Amino acid sequence: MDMITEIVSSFFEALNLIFSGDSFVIDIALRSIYISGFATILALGFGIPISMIISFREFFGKNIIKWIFNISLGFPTVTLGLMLFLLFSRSGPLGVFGILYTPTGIIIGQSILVTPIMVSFSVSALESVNPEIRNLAKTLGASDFQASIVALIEGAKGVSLAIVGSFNRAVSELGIALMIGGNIRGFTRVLTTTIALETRRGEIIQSIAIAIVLLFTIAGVNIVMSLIKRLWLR
Amino acid sequence: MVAIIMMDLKNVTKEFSDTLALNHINLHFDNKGVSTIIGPSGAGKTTLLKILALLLEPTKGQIFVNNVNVDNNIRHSLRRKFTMVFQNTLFFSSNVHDNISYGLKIRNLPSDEIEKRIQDVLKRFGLIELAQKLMHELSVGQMQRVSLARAFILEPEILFLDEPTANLDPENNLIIEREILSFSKSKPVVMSTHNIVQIHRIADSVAFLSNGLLIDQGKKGILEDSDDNRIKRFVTGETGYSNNDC
Repeated sequence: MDMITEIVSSFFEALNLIFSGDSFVIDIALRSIYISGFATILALGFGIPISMIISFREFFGKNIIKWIFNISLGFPTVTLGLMLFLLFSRSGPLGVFGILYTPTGIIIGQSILVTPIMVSFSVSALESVNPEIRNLAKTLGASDFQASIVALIEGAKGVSLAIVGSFNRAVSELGIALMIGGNIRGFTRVLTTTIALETRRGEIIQSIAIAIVLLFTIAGVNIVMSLIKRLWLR
Repeated sequence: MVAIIMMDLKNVTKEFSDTLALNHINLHFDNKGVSTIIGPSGAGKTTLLKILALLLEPTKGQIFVNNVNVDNNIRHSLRRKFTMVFQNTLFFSSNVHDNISYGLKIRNLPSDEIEKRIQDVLKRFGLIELAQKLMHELSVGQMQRVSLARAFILEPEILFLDEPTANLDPENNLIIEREILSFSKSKPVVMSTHNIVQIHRIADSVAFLSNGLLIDQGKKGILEDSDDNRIKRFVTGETGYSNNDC
């Protein structure tokens, strides 16, 4: 059997594995969604206020901060994973919290990884909102904060792109999940670490199945966000 | 604070990074009637209106409302008594109803009171049929009527209008002028305009700005009586001193 035939055959076997409800695949997929979803929500929690301050306030060093977030977009995941490993390891400064090789560790790592995406994309979206919108809200009686919320709502389409981009980056990264999570079966094993492991073990069908689940997960989140945009962000 | 009866600017200067938009402006507005701010494009009319509406802080100088100096402690509460209608039809990305109700909702008015007021104002501005339409589906004239309805529904103490009838057809122009005149019978309206005919129709007083300087202020007769070359050029509609949207 040549390579192409083997890949096609593996692909169909992988689909069978997915749609037959294989508990191993479902377990890993759900854990990935949970961990990366939580990391995205965490990044959203501190990324949006930072974006609002950068977009709506004038202060010294604003452009430098924007530049730092922009260059951090391409931060290598293994480098961040190594830095966090040193911080979280037992002898490291944060070792006392015992978060190395836990889902919490991956969540923290991924949230740090995707914050530049969240901030850079959101700032770009918020800065493209007509600045007079905040004045409009103010002249109708809004406080500065309420006016900023109005501008955030106006830029929600762009911000939703930041959320999708952040989730996609988190769920598809390997370095942090491997170095901070440790790829422990049933505990910190996620889609990307499983693909790496199964490929190394020669389990190509399993690898392809998990890779397809990863792609479906990314596509699913994009579809959900598109529906939200269409229904609520007209 | 009691109902607003007068507003004063004392030596107000506004600088942007590389522009002097307003230069030592002294102005006084009374408690009712239509005060107009006129002048060529780039004269500083919009900046002046934004400062009056407390949306911009002057670089230098002071604003007094009822002889009380406006500082940051009272700025927000005072701003709730003012409303400005912008030159370029500005709106939230929602429908007509939501745009008009925004100001009432953030004041936490009861929903039945909000609905009653909205229905009144929709009727007054001929917008009943358009209530559920998205703003970008409206014509410029309809958008401007929504902008005015959104301001009027708040029953402000002073209404600031930045060229409210620019680019409007005669029918919409008439509706908006009628509402401005009706409002100005009891409360002050401060509006910028290029339209000399409109000034004669509805204005009680005129302030003429050029390059950030207040050139003259008084009854609308100053436009014809003035010896100032800049005012003469504006009145005759000379290039750069346009009044051609009459």
